[in-house]
Amino acid sequence: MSTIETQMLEVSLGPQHPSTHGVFRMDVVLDGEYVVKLKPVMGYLHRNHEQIGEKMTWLGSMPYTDRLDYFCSMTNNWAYALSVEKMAGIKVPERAEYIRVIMAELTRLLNHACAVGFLLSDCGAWFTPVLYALRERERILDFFETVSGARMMCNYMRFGGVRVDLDEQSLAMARAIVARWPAFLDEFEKLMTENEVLLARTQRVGILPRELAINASVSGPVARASGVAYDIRKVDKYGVYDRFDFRVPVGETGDTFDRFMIRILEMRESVKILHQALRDIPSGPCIAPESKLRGFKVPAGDGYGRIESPKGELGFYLVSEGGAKPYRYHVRPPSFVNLTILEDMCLGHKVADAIIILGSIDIVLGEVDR
Amino acid sequence: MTIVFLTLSAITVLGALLAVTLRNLVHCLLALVLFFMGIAGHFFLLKADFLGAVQILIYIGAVAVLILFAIMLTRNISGTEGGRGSLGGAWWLGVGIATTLAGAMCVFVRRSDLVSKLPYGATEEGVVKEIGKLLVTDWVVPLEIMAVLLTAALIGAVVIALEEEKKR
Amino acid sequence: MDAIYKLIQHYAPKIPDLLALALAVLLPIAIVMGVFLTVFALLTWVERKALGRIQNRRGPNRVGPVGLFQPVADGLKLLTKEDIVPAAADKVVHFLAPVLTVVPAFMVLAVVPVAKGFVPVDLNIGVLFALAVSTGSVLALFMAGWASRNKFSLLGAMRSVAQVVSYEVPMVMAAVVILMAAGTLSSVGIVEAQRGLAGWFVFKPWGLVAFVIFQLCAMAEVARTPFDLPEAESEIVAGYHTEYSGFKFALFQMGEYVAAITMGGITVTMFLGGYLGPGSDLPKIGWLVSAGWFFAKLGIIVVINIWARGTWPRVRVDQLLGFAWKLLLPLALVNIVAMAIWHFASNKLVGWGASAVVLAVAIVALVKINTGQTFEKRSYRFIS
Repeated sequence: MSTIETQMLEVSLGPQHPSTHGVFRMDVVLDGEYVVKLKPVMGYLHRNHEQIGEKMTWLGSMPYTDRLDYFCSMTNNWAYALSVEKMAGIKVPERAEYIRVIMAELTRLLNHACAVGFLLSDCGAWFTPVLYALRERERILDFFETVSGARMMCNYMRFGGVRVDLDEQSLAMARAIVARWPAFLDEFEKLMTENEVLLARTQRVGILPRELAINASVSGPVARASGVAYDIRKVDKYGVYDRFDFRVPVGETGDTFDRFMIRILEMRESVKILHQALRDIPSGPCIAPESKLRGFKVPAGDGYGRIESPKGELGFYLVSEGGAKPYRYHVRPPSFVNLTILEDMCLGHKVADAIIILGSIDIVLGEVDR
Repeated sequence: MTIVFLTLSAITVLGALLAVTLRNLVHCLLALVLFFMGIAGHFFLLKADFLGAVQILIYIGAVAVLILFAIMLTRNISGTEGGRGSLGGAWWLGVGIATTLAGAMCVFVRRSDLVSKLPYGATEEGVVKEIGKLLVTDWVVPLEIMAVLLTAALIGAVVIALEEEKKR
Repeated sequence: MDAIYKLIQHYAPKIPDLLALALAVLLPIAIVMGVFLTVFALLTWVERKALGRIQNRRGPNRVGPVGLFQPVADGLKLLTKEDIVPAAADKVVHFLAPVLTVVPAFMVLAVVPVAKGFVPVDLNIGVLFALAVSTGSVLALFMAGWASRNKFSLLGAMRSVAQVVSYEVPMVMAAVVILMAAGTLSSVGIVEAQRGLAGWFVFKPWGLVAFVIFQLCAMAEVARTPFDLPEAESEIVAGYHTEYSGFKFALFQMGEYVAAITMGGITVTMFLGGYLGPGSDLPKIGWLVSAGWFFAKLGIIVVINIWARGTWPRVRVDQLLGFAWKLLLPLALVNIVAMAIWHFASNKLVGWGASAVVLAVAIVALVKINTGQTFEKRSYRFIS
């Protein structure tokens, strides 16, 4: 019996497309609705970030790191500050460490809430979940604004601490945000686990096997959903993370559903950390006395500092010649590395699945293209 | 009424002519739909509402869509390749066959007593009821045979689709 | 129509016959078009307001009181926008498609009885006509997608053809039950058959099942969420109308909304007793009361549509087709059997019980077969 010869359809999803999460392009070859080939095309948002970093003073790059993953400027700041502190041997005061934890976990909350919301939007839920997530995100952004003066581009951390101390009023504000978060999460989790359409769309879709996740050095919630028990907060115990009681959720199947459930569970753990941090925050200086803003120099050598950003392992590899500028400034962005396995996850699925798989990786193009 | 009849006829004939002369497959299909619409209009004009609705439901809703699927399944999805036109060298043969068929039909319709048997004066409601009754009494065997045939075709289509699925 | 013709002849006998005839034909058309275009404009406003309410925002509130003139502003804006036709597009078909989308939507209106004694054309085969004409929209959608020479459009067109054809089948099967119960194809006849206490067909077991099937199919047929795959914006941008702008785009929107209203009208007619309701038979004001009932019921259907749009994610294309062929169609077939049981049952109570049991068993079995392996309960490890 001869089979029907059909035409393959080559479609370029993006760079102008409603759900590629920015200027990202997927060159997709379709057999009917099935994806038979998928090529991620990056670079539309390339801004020469690393080169600029090498022309800037050490501190001058701090505001630029805000623009990497523009959802999570706080964690970007922290990763950069951490690497420089490692090289310069600056000791961060305890209060500053606590403030950093508070900021990072709040960032994790807003990032994960929006990621889950956008997944549902990619599934076609007409922005309702996104707007619920954005409503909560707004409170955190208001908090960031009162503390740092900016909502998204916070530029908040300095080598050896943070720029502005938290006063009692802003601490109360943070406590209020954290207090209402579990109720929001309950509602959101109900949306996830009780909607049949969503379950049918996400379960067994875009499975990322554990071996592939490790081989491709995938990190963050994407890796943990595939069963890789790896969280830099636990592995490196950077900052003061060894003082908090929290758990890291790990999935088994590694499909789209797991990736999003992991994010929900992580938010619950973040709330736990925030409760403890806001309770135990000590008094003291918020920036190391020996750190200086002008004429700051880093001893010759190289260093790699990494943190668990909401999207995965965010690292800065820096080489210093002892001058006022880095000799080499390299970013290891989690979005970019996690994106490399997109084709492996999408093959054999439908176009509609490819969209939600991309959404479940949770990329921000500012970080992918730099 | 004559004006309406003439307009409808013109549309119908135009649709039929375009369907066989246009070069693009999809255009041909759309012309065919126009032709079907014209026929349906004729039925409505003759106060055969039921036949008119059935004409639309079956010929436009099903047959045209079937042809559409056939076009979409071919490589020539944009319908632009191989535009030699449907009027090939043997057009006179087609005209001959069509004329013969039409003539034969005219002769047989005139001769047969079918026309006199039609339930003149019956309301449209009555006609629908009559058709329904006849289908499940006198004509039940042909109806069942058709049903079996369609089921067989359906199973055949599923089998072909399964082969495709296995290859994937 | 005849009534208007007689009225004209009675009150203004001097009017020439042809003019009176033309008036008698055109007047109902004008009324229906006017009423439903207003409803359409209002619906866009209601939809945006309701979606806003669902999504914690205000919706349109700038143009006119509570944003009521927003549809007018939208219309003016779309009218004055540049009409862009892609260079490679098939110009004629590209132009015809939006027009042909609107036509079937309005044609279905001809057989919807809006009030007691007011139906534009009381065809004997009303429901069949409505179902037949609404299939015509699929061709317009295909023409739009195909003529745009855009791959997203083509994908949307292919999806819409597959979707409409698939959902047509269970839809007609669901309607068959109602035709069996009413014993007529006329839309007015179906409404009149639903007289009496709890006489609406939706209050019978088979009627309820048929109503759910019909409503779902109607939503799929006019491509509303969660079945809006032909224009799934997160996947294929805007589907078949990706390459349309200005007033042609407005025509697509209008066709879609009017189709949603007319489908709702057919649903109300077939299942919710149409214009019937307390007071619809009053001597002088009966027509007004009955029109009120009709539009109130239509409003409920419309709100259900909006609600679904605000809260449901979209299904995938294979799930969509599987849902129609594997769940709705068998259920509709069983429903016909249930109707037959009801019809031949010795008394009403037996009929109620027997058909309800048959349907319940069928629903449970079908749901079991269809969702057996899909949903898993997941457990997660925690490391600390």
